[in-house]
Amino acid sequence: MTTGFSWLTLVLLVPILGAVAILCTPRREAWLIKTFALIAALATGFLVLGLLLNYSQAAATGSPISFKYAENVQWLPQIGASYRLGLDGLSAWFLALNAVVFLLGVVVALVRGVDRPKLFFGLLILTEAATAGVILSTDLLLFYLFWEGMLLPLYFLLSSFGNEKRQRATVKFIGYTVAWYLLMLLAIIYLHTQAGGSFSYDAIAARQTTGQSIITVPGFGWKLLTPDQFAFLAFALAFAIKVPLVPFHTWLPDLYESLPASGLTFFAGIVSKLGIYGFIRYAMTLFPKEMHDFQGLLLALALLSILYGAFMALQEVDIKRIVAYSSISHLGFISLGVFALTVIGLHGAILQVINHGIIIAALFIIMELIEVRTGTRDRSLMSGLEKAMPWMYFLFMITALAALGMPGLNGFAGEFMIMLGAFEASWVLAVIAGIGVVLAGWYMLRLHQGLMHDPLHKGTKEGMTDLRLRERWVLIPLCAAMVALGLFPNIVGQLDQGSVQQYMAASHTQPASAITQPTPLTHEVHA
Amino acid sequence: MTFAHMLAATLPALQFPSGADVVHLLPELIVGGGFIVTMVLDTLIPPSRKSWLAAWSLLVLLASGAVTVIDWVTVGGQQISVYAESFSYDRFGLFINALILIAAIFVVALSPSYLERQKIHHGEFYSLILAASAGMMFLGSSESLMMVFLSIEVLSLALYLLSGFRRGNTKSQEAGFKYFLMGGFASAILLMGMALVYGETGHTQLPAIAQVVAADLQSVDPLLLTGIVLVFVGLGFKVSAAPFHMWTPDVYEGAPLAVTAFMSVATKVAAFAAILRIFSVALTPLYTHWEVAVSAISILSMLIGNLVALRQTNIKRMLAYSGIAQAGYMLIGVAVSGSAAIAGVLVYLAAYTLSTFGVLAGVMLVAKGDDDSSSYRSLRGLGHAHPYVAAMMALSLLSLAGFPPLLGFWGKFFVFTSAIQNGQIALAIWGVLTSAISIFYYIRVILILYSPQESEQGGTVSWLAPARVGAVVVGLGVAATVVLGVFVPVVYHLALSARDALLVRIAAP
Repeated sequence: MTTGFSWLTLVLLVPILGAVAILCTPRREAWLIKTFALIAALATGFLVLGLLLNYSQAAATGSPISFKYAENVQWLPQIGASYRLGLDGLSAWFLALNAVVFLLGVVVALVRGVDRPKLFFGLLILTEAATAGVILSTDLLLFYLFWEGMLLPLYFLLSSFGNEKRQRATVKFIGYTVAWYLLMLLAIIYLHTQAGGSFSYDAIAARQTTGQSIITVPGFGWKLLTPDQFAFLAFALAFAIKVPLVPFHTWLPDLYESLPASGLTFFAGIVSKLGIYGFIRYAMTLFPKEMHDFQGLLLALALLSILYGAFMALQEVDIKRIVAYSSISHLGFISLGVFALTVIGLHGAILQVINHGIIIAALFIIMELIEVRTGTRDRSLMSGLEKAMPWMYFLFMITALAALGMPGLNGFAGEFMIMLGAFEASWVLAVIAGIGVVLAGWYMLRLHQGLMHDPLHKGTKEGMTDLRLRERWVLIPLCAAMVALGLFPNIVGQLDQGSVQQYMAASHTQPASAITQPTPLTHEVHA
Repeated sequence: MTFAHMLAATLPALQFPSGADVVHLLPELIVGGGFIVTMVLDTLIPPSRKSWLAAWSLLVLLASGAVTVIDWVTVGGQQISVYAESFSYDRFGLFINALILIAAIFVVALSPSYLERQKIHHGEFYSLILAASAGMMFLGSSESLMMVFLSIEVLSLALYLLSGFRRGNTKSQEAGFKYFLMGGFASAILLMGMALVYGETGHTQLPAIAQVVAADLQSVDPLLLTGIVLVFVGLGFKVSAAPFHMWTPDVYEGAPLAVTAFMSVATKVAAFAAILRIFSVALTPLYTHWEVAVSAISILSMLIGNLVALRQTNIKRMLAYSGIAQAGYMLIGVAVSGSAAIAGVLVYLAAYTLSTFGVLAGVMLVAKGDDDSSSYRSLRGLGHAHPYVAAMMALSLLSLAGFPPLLGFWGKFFVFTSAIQNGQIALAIWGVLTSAISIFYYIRVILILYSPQESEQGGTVSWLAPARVGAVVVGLGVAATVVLGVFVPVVYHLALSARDALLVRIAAP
């Protein structure tokens, strides 16, 4: 189903051209660099918006998941690798989030200012192209190229901007991730041989997986796993590190602590969400049987992430790390929605990916603005900020409430659907996840109250100002989006409904088992 | 079974070469002839004008390169025997020629300003580089064990001298002497192995050996296997595979940077060409016999190279160990021995040539002295002082670490793919795990390049401004790793046709 024009290539090309334009601009022309960055991010945003508006659901045609705007150019025919791009209901939302958070990253950097703008904006825009490539590629080799290639601009970005701890944190992150990505590469090559020498997503999804023998350790007779199970674990590990699921999370708090808000908006907003994307797009549909084999383990990790993140957030005093750990907990929620393998849970997970992308960006921006004003990140050294900053009080409250899942704000709709999906799988999951919701309310409200209420802390700096106008204009649209998505969560559901059904169907070894009943989506959300 | 016997066996080849032979060996002969002319020219050119020799050597190398390109087009997919089956004129040899010429051209283009600064700007440098290149190019085309040995001697003798080229420096002297002793030892082992292979098969020509070996697979004589192992040991020394790698770090460290850069890439390319010709083609029928040994050496090289490289604090030594590890990855391709693997090794060689050279050339461009410029400490802050040079080095290091879409990634990718396709999953997993280790030492150097300069000894380390010609040449090489990484089908296509040319005679005996 190829349309005439390569729209998706254009989505990749616009940021790349923007990065090239920035590269060619002399360093002293900072305004021109900023203009280019803004234009590139805006142009990509409008392009994606146009694609989404134009995107319409059509029935699946033959292949498990049909892609719109599909492009297919022979690239390395000798080994069956092509330049294949495609858009479906799942990637549409991730692409939208991608465009939004990078635009946000540019805007935050413009508002907050950044040293070495040429390097920063060039790498930022280049990262956007790489993440869009991860989302759009429908060829596993191409996916891998973007997936690991993304680390190149990220590496220089992370190691060049942020506080003094960034070098160590970056090496930790890169070292952690690359090792396991390479294992995923091996798994991709293995799938390629299984699918008869093609890297195409459709060909690999349609491969024959019958008759897999269990590998045994020679000489001992120990029974290990089937090759497909190994391949699944390689994929799952790479994605679990990206998400990150506890116990693969140790790179996250250090890195988030060291990054400036302009970098965090897109890193926490989209880069780590790509792990979720990978679980849905690749782990679930390419390994339907293995996904069920390891469902228990994955669910356990998701629950562990929810609880661990929440407890760590409770005991932290550094406000940035509190938000970092809350992010682990929330991503545990999203993973739970995916791993429950129910339609409603998956819907909730996708919705929550969007929601969390917005909420976490707002939270990190707020934390940085507070740090700039008070000169500390220690929760115990701050109180009573509301008097000096009424705007901050108000916007922080909306964000905190959205983060803890207040009905009427966007966090609620997603978490509710995830809980429903988890409940459908087993009530135990929903109960344990419910503990996480309670803890989230505890640490978020404690953070907000502790910072904002009570008399002003004695050691606080003199002359704190409220949010400036331009800072307000960054946060107000985000908070408006939280309210809007909270009231009308259906926007997301309408677009991805067809795709979610297909993914669920593909993830069940006996299709038509779990997808026969229609999705009771609308009324439950408004209940 | 003595040397005289072997010479006698190749006697037909000692007749005067025909016109066709000369034409087919033209790229090699141009460089070899250039070596002799350069020696003569050196005596005529005044010491202050030694850069003229660089220009002349460049001319020779470029002429040879042009002929190589023309030959590539004209030879097509055939494999033509030259000089009574001593050499083979085919695209495989031309591919190897091209890589060696690229390395030689880069070194010669960078050398004048570097040698001038080090006060070792002697004319012999250029003639020795040409001699070594000629030996390497002959090695890439050799199709007889005798010619393999002679080519290795030609290139080794030139490299022994070049390693000790900083005559006033004890480290350099040590490097030259050590390389000479160890190299002589390895040559003797290689020759012994060849003698055994000749004694068992009665031939020195590889196609004939292949036929004899394939005809009698039921009873393989242990002496033949011993000979094969010894040949592999001798060649393993040249590619510095563990456990025959001991000389590498010391020689790389002591040799002048220009020589380190040249021999670390070109020697490996040439020796791998010989390994591929001998093992992946002629000795394929005996695959099951040598597979385990080659796999073991590959595994050991990856382990030792990567682990010891972590502990290095000198970029020359780090690259020596990294080179050992990279040899291990390429040996995966040999151990797998499929036709896809050969193409993979060729892509790997191309990536390794450009990337390793990119790193060392970066140091060479700004180095004040040899020993104090290659330690990690002295590289601190280079990213701020010379952003262009540092960026070139960083990209090359990332390519060596195997980051997509740089060319280095594709080398690993094709080699691992061939391993998995042939069912050698354990080798591929081992390769992946060890290359995860390698990320740390490559990235460590990049971090050092971009960290603030430390000034604990009072003054800060200073660098010299890079020479313009050199900077452009290095820039071209690094641009190639990026562009060819994105447009990898180009390289892969070339490697495939080189591979096909190598297998012509096996496919149609």
